Amino acid sequence: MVKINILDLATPTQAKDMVFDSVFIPDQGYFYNNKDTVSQIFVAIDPRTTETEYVFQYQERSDTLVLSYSNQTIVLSPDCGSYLYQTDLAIKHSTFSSNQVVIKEQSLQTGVAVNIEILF
Amino acid sequence: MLTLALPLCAQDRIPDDSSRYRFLPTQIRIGTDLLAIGKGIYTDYFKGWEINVDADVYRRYYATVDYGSWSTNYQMNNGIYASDGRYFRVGVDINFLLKDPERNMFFVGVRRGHTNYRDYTDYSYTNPPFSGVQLHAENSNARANWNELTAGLRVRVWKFIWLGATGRIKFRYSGKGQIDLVSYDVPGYGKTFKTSWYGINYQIFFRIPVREDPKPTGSF
Repeated sequence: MVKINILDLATPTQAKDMVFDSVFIPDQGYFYNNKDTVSQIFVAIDPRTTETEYVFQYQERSDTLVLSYSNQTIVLSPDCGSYLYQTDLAIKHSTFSSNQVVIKEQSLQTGVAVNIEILF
Repeated sequence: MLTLALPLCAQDRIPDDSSRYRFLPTQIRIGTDLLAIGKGIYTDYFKGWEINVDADVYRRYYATVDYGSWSTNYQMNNGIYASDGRYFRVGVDINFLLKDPERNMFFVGVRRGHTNYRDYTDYSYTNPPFSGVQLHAENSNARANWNELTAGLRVRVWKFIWLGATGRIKFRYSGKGQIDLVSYDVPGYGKTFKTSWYGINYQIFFRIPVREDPKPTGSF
């Protein structure tokens, strides 16, 4: 999961509550689609490829963010099974304004607090 | 280890062998690992075999070569993992029972191991909205090296037949070619999530005499 924190553009250290009409991966599925008010967003990546496109709809606007990453499978044990881990998270394309999206952590491991900050 | 062997050199079986044959082995032993064969028969995740060869190339020093095949197939709760490859080890054993009349052997040694293998996993992804997606990851040309410290016995049981046991500690594992998949079970080495690993062989050997060697006598 990619963990995205929403921060206030005026005071970037402060979390900001945003109302999103929807956040989704085109042709795949929605993560938020009910005018949810959130300050942190969790979105999945497409495990079949090395990049995923996300659409953020809010305040009658729509922005697109394409993230790229590297996949590596690790077999934990026969009981736990195989798991996919992502590293090298990067912004491949964004319609957000420049400097509005910041990569904070390139690994998608579960212990990571935040991967991306978006300033509104 | 070599330091331990030095004080015993004065008791070597061929104390002053200055002939041109002094580096020619008196014997070659060829054996196989019975545990690998048994493991293949009694488990559903392993198939393999191993050939072991040693020769007394100089006094108490034995050159040793192992060559083996190792295939695994693990059923996991979300798919399968399989590995298949060949491996070899080369090294030196130091025999501490040089004057044993039956040519029994207690040794310690070192090995360097290498393997070329292929491994893959097929499994189901579980995070929505991609739950149930089938994923495949493989290493088609992976390689690994490691070191070993060994100790063991060779005991003559009948004429040209010896039984042996070799214990080994494997360490300094180094894998290459693992891009999409981190190997779980590497042929010849074993599970990779530990930085050191152990192994044991229970072997049967057949001795092939190479040149005449006076039968050892006297104390150890």
